[in-house]
Amino acid sequence: MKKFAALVLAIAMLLSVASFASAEEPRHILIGTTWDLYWDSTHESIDANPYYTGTLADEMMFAKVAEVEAEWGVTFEYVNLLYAGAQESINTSIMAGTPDVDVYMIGLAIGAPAVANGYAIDLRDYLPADHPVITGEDEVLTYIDVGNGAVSLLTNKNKENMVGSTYPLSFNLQMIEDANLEDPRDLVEAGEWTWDKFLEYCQILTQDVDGDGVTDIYGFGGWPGDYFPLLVMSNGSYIAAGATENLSSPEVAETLQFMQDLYLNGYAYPIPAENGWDICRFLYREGKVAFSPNAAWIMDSNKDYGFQQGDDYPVLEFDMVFVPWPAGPSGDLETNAQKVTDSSCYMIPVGVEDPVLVFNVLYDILNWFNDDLSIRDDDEALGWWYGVTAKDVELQEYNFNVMYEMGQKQMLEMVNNLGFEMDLVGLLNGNYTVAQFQETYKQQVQDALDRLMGN
Amino acid sequence: MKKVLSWILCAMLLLTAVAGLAEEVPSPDAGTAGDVADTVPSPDADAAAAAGGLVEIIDFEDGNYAFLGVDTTAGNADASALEVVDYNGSKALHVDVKAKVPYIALNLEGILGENFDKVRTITFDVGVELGSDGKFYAASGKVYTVTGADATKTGYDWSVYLKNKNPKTAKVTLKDVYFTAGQGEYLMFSKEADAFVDSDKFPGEEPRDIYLDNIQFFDAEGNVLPLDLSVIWEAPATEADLSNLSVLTNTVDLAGMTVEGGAWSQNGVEMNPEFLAALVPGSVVEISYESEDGDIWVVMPWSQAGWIRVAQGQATKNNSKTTAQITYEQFAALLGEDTSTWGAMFQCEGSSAWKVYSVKVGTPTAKIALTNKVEFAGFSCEGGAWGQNGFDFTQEVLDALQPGTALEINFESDSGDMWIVLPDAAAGWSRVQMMSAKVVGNNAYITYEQIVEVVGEDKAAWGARLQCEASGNWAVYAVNVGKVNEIVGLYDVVDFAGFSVSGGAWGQNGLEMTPEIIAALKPGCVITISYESDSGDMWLVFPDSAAGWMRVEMMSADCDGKTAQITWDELVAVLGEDVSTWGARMQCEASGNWQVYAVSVAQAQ
Repeated sequence: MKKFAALVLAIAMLLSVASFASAEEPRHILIGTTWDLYWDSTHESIDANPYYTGTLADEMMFAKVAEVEAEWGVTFEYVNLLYAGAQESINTSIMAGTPDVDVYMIGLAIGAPAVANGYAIDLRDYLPADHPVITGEDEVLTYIDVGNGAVSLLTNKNKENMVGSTYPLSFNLQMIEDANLEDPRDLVEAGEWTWDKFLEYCQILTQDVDGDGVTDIYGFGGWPGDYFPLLVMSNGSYIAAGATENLSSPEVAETLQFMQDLYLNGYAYPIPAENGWDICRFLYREGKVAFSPNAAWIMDSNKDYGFQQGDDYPVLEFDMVFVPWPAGPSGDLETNAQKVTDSSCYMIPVGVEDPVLVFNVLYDILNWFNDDLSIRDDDEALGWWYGVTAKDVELQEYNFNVMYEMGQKQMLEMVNNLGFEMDLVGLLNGNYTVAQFQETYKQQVQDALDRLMGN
Repeated sequence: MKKVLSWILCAMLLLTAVAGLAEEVPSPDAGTAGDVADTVPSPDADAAAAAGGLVEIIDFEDGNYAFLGVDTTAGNADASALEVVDYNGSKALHVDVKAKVPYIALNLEGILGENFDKVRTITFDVGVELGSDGKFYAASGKVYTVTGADATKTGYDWSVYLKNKNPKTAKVTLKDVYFTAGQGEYLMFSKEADAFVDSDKFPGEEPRDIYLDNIQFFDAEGNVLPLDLSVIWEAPATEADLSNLSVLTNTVDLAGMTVEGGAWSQNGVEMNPEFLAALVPGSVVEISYESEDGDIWVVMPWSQAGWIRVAQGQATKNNSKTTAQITYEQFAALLGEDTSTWGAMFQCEGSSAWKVYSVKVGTPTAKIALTNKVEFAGFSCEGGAWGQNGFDFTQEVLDALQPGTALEINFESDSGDMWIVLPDAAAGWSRVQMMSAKVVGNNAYITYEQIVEVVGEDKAAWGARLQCEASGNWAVYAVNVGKVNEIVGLYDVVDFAGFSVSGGAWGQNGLEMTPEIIAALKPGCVITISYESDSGDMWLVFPDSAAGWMRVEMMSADCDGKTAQITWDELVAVLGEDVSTWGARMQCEASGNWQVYAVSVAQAQ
């Protein structure tokens, strides 16, 4: 008994001394990543970063370290846990109540299951309801909804992060003008850009130009795997965004039916039996379709408008204009998600001491540009995003803004990460009814989600 | 100073108290259910097990590690060195990693004996060498179970990711796939990710070493399984490495050609007449060998053209540098077309010490692999010479027979040939490819197109039955239908230096093309990719080409699961003939997670 009392006394003294010591030692905040990040409190020189290029942004990020230390009385360090280490750390240390690090900076493949399993704090429990991050009005950080509304997965709101990986619907402006149709941009503005209107346009724009009985121009054309999740989002829904599959939902059924109708009625370019993805990617360039899914990287790879190719570089003779995907009967143009998120994200694990301090430190680190968006979103650095989608500056800006708006309405959607592909081409060719298609794949989707979510 | 004294006082009190406490608390029983990661076998239990020749833990204290070894069969395998060293207060296995991924394989069936199939949980201590700057860098790897007839690898992650948890005890729990005795199954540890190397701050330095210790195996109830560490690990037998090479048929051996030599010394035998007669245009000489630097070539010292080296540095070699091939044309370019002037003496030579085990000459044939295979269920039968036997077509087989596919007949026959008969065809009793079907190894191949040529495209007119036939007594063991992938042999091989990259499903990764690679991209060339992918497929991407971001042979390149080939014609169809417009980068891609070990550009044999 005496020995036990001695142990208790010793531990008490130790804790007391440790507490006294920590009052003098700044808190050291660890940010676990799966790759190397610079700069932090362990870097004495700006040259510690092998990728340092001497830009103003670099200088400000390095200076920010000392500013954060002074402002919050902490030091911080990025720790590359590697992918397997981050997974293990999340699954063991958080579960044990003693998270290894104060912030995880990770990909969605790790982050989404972590949030689904309750391993990340919901900032709604710690920040005021009108905090700009909670309301979505903040310019530094935004959050990714994983289907439960929690503000747990934070991501940078810089423009490049927003416009990246967006797949707008694009249309051939000259075809619209030649057909004397109202500009879809105006329909978007008026809130009238719906599936019904889109279908009507596709029907009108599908044409047998030379009268030989063969369709020469289709209203729409694209690879279904590229736009299926976007069209589902435009109907206010998702396929595989949480723990339970949603392929079998009525909203997805509506979407599948809409897609199938487009093809079986002959308004969409038939998917070729071979090399479909490649062929569909070029349809808009060849003037074979009026509407097509598109992306800045596609137009750049095709050098459509000769960005940085010299004045005499051949460019497309028509303009491709970006618009958001039209709203389905169960969707809403204002609230529909419009981008499948693929951003890396930050989460503060459950069990971290003083999570508000951690959030504030993280926020300040990420606000290295001190709210001067012109530095973070430097137009020169973003020049590629503007230059590749149009030759006319005004249209470049319009297309960029469409991507930016879409990027701010992103959500998790794992349909393209399930490890198998659904036979969408078969559906469009009428090999399945929508109900048959849903029945064929819903269990496979659920099994894949179970695996991804660690269930 | 007061603080320091307080710390010391507390620490002493704590140590005293803990030491005393330990006397009063019984140690946990070894091998009981519960959190096995925390289970420590008591010395008594260990000693008892040792008395029967068995132990409960692999702790390397006696320096023995003959029950494990470095498996170098994977394309990315590292030739790591092993030794037992002092580490973290006891003996541990030191894995000295040289460049790539170390695979440490255990003869687990021998170690566990009758308990082999009971393994459910494995625990082990793993530590990572610090960086050359004295700092900690995370590392991770896998514990693989290698199971089944096709040696399926199922991996479970381990990681050491924080400096205050290095070394650590790792624990993996097997899921769904367990060991079966008698199948040649085994266990491997690997180290696959290394933050030290990934940091780009230490170019040219080796990956960090790892240390393994205290390995234990538990059954489903958490009982520790006894281990017999007197067994020996033997490197797994592997199939012949035919990368870059053709399969030779109609071969003739060079009698007595088992010789060796030092660097730059020659040794050989006089050619037997049969061997010399088989040296004809289109033939290929194959040398089975090993050498310190991987090179080997031929010397013809008595030829009328003089003392001639043939294919010095230019023989086609497999990736494991154990087999080399030299074409007749390479000989003739130096010695002339008339083999009677070549002289009788045939020698080998290398730039380092070398051994040659055999030499033969034969006709090169492309390797064939079927993908999207459909089995003709139950097709196993036999017949006498010129006798037919077979079964009714199944609908599945008929459906699978499409343009680009072939029947693969696994057989043996006294005559070495094999073909098919369609006795009920509307065109009449029909033989297809009688004595002319392509035979590679024990398989004969008859393409859909060859069948159509005889009995037409209408499958309803093919009749109900499919039979086999040969000109000698024969037995057929299996028939399959699938897409035909032909992997051709090569010469004038130009390796794409450093092309060892990986990617996720539908992810691209690659390198900028070197001047040597660009120069090798010319009519007749073949790009050969040594790879593994979860989906089995592999193709190329040229992201910077003038034609746009282009995939070449997406999901349609000739692949056998290890080697993919894309021809000049296939490249040109997408990118055009002007190589200067193909852009700077060549990338690989697959529809599943993938790893590429090597890329080369060569001419087809």
